[in-house]
Amino acid sequence: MSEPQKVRATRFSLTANILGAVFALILLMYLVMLAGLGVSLRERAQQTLDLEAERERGAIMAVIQDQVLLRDYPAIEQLIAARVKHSHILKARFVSASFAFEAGTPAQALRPPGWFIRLLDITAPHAASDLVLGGTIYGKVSVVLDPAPSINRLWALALRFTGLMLMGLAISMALLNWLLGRNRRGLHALRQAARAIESGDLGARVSLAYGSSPEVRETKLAFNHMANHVNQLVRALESEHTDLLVEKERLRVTIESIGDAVIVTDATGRIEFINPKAEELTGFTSANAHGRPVPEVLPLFNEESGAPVTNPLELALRGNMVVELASHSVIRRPSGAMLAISDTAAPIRARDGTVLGGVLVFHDQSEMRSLMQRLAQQAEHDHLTGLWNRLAMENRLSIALQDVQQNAQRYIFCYIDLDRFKLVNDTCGHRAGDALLQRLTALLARRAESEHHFLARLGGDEFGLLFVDTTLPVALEYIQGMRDEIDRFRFEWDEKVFRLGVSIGVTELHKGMTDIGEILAQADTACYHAKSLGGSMIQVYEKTHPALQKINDEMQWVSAITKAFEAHRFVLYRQQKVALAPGIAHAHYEILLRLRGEDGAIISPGEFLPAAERYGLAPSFDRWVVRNLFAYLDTHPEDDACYALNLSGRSLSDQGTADFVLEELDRYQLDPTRISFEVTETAAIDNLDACERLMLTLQSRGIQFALDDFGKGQSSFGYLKRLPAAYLKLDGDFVRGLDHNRESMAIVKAMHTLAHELGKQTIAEQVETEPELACLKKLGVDFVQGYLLHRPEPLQLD
Amino acid sequence: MKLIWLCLAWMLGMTVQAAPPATPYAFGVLNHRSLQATAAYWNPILKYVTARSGVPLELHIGRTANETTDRVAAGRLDFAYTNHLFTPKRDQLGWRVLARQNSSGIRGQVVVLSHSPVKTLQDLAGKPVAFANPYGFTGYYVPMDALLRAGVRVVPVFAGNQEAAMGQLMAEEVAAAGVNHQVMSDFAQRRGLSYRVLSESEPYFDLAIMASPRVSAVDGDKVRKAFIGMEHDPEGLRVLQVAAHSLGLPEARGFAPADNADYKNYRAFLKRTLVPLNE
Repeated sequence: MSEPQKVRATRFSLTANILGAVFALILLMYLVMLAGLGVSLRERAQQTLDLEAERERGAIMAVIQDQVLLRDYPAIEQLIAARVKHSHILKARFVSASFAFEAGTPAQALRPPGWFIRLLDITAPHAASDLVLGGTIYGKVSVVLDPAPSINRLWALALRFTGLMLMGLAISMALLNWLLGRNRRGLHALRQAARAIESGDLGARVSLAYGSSPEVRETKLAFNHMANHVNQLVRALESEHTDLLVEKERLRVTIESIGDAVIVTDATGRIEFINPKAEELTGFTSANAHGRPVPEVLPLFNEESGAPVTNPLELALRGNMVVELASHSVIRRPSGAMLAISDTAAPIRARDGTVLGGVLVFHDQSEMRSLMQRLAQQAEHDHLTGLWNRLAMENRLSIALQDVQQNAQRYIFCYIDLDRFKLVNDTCGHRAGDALLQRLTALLARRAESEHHFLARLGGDEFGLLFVDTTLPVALEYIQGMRDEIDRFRFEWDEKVFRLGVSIGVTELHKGMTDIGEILAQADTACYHAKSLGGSMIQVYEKTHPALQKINDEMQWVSAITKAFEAHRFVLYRQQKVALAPGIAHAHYEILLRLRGEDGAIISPGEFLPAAERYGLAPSFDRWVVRNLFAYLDTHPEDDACYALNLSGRSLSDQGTADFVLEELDRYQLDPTRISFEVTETAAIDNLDACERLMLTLQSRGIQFALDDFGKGQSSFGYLKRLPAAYLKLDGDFVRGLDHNRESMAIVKAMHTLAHELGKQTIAEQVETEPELACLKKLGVDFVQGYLLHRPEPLQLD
Repeated sequence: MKLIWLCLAWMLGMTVQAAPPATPYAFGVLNHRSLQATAAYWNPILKYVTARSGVPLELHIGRTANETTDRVAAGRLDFAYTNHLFTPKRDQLGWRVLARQNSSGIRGQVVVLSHSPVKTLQDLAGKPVAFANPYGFTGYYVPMDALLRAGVRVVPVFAGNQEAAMGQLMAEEVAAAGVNHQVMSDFAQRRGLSYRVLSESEPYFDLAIMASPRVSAVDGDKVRKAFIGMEHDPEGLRVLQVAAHSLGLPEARGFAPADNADYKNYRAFLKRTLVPLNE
């Protein structure tokens, strides 16, 4: 409650004040007017007297002039005496060389009091001058007038003025008092109504009875409006008060039932309230906690260092802001047990921003922190083997690289790839593969338990091993031991025994390396080369090694391809496959992929496809080709040709390829018989099961397949029988020089005859001369394709 | 001894020089105008003459011209500016002419207002005619003589002085006025009055400055010289102009030398006039 306002009352009523003020004002005006008029009248009276004296002197002079000239002195005396007798001349005198005369009358009695006479300060006027006639002075005339009549007149005037003023003042006071009395009645009514409202009668109003002045009436109206408004406000406040009580009860129940612990303090940080959850977490009852400082009930410490932590509520109250508790904070309960919590403290402010108290909300973080720790563990570990995962290895490599660059520490990184692991998976299933990995990992982990080794599973059957503070020879010795142990390892599953090998690429970290990608790439390149050498080999990365350089070049392509893909620099070309067999109505084309270099030159697929295949980019290309060709066919209904698309080995093994193709087909509502896919013989055999499933799936919708580069790989008639391809594309190596190479001619003839016998059509590619074409026609090949017949041309997508 | 005589002579000289001024001569002026106008005109002139001649003069005026002349007759005046002293009886008083007003002379006139129905002197028969006083020469004797010689009897009305008579004419209280032609002309010019002359006399010299027999020849001569020299003295001329201005006269009038012989026609007229003389 604020201090009540001091009432400063005046000693006199409003009426007395107004009457007094008006009286003082009129009196002041009277005095000012009296002073102004008095000064003016006094000056005028003095001037009038002076003028009158002059006039009397002039009159006397005029009257006696002739007598002076005649030297009739008795006449002069009579004239002057007569003039004095009929005027207020105190003294009139004529003096010449031979004559002098003076006449006078007694002064009139002065009626005003002495102070008035002194205040006026009017002097007896005196006028004198020589009597000159024709330049000759005949004597001197002087006159002194009596000021008493003027002073008496002014006194009478002042008395009349004062009387009038007093009468006017009395009338004004009476009138004003009457008017104020009338208006006081209205004020009295207002006071009565105010007291009634004060005593609880909120319906009390002032009567607007006739007789009130417009101002009082307006005041009454305003009072009544205010009373109405106050009445509404009181009703609203009562309603809101009820609502607040309900709300308060709801809040109390809510706070007591919520899962978060809540502590409410006053502005000094002493506890006013804690809810049951807070009681549970702190170990204090509400009664015990009341009035205590928060740190006493909620002692906070850093989980890791054990150092006390400043209570956030103190900071919040001190800084008048919301404060969150630092992470890794725990409280120590009365029992001594530590409990991880997180909390938020906020000040409770009044409308003017004054801090009234604070509220601290916290909750038990024990489970969450445990979960977070588990998640952190999982984020960096491989769930199958328990080893560090690729992310952990990359983080470790980053630290190692920094260490190399800053401290010249030596690190060796190995890329380990299991040989023939796929065979286990394909023959015994993934469960067998997982069991193999777990057992083999246990073997590797035992050897890499030292702090100088950091072993991680990078993915699938690939592992990484980082040697810390180790020289290359020591590391190689260790790696050779590990390889020999794996060579000796035998995995048995369902009465089958598998023997594994391991290819290892090794690289040493040095200051010139820019990022971990370079480390991984070098080790991968070396590993790839080791694997290409037949398995169970160890290859140390050397920058100048030709084989590694080639692999490295391919890897350079990877980034170039990725950039080109993002920059939409891939374009579609098509090359016609000319039908030699009769009865084929539609044109047939093969879709080819080209890359437009940054300089605009077209790059053939032989340059970038190997790298794309090896680094798993080919499926993306395949899908891009499918999407764009189908879009082209959709927007070019006039084109009714049949198109063949190439599918990479990775796409064949991707179980989602079939679904993707079918979805795209449905999306554009294309005739599936116009679409065929070409898969290389090698890729098909490498992914035989998957390829078979894919071909069967798509073939069921009318899509045909061709076996590309047939005859180039290790063709097996068994595979030919198993794969449901509609076409065989004879490899260009056999087609070139067909006309003069009997062996090629024999092989082509055999493959063509075989294909026809199996119900498949043949396509000869790379036909570049007329003799070759003539031979193929003679053999009865169904389609021919090559620069002789049609050079690849861009497919106008737009 | 010689030194003693020289001291005595010096002391005598000092005594003569330190003697108080003599009693001023009373200089009477015939009333032609009001007292104040007369004083305004003559006081500056007398002041000048007193200064120039060394003969102190003091203006004396009677209420009327007759009273002034009476003062002469009573011996109360020493000098006079008048033409009333040429009657046979007053001529015997022995006054002598010193100078006269330097003018072309004065005439007696009988005048009426321009719009007056009076065309001849005969038309005035039985009607009131204003005159200055019963002593005036051109203001009474000359015009009345003309009327009597014309056989016209009028009712004389004496106004007191010349301008008063003219005032009565102007107010049409009288049918005609007998006037000094010069005074009439000055009055008419000053007041914008239009009048007509019914009768006019021969010319007479204007009023004379005369000295009584008791005025010494020396003083009389000094006074005469001072009056005559006024026109030729810048200060005298200025005084004359101031005096003329006080009366509204167009030009200053000086004084010319004159003697008794110059006024013979006065005496001749007064001897033969039909008008009874008031002496």
